[in-house]
Amino acid sequence: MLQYFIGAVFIAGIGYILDESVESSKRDKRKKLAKKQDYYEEKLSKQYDYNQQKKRSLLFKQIKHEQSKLKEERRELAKIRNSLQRGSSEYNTILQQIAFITQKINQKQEDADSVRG
Amino acid sequence: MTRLPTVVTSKLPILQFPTLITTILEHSSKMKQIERDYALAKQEMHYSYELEKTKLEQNLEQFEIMAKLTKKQFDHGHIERMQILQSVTTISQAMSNLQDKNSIESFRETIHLLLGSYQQSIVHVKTVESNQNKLIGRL
Repeated sequence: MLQYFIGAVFIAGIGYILDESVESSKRDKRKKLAKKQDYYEEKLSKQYDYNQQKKRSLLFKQIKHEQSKLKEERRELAKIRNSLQRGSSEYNTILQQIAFITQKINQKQEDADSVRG
Repeated sequence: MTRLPTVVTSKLPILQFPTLITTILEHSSKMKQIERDYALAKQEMHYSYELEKTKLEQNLEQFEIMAKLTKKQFDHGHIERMQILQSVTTISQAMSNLQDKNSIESFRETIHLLLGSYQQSIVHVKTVESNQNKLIGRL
């Protein structure tokens, strides 16, 4: 009878130790997974930042390129304006175009500033 | 863990052995299950990371394609407009040397026509800008 009691206590003890080792293993794996998750999240966040930087730089260059081309057009329009008779309808059309292009150039500057942040 | 002290196991009543063995087997199966679950979760996490990474890469690629297209559109319009303006310059310079009213009038009409084309082309800039605004919106 005493032997049965000792046996039962022994088995219960073994059971307890084994359960503890299962729980400890679960905790360990959860910790490892959380660490891995953090690692992946950090990598994705870096990739996202790189994308944003690349996009911004690309757009900034493009906007500045367009602005410079529009300035070229404005210079050409100014040349035409100077060769036309002041007050003629062509002269006034050119003036309107210059005003429009100037507005576009200023808009491009605002866009470039907003993209550069 | 499975190596039990001989002192105890030798005195353990034979009827309690199955309980002990079952406890050990259950533990072993639980541990294996934990390993399997861990490997599966790790793999899923990796796949999900790869998927997100690919999405980000594709997003950048699409953005670059769109930006290139917008640049091409703009440059095409710009070249067209510059050609028109250069024609207007040539005509206006030639016009200043003219005396004949009819010729001057016909030159002026041509200038108006060319400026109309210029105006039409500049409308194209708005389409390019709208594409560019979409790109800015995607930042």
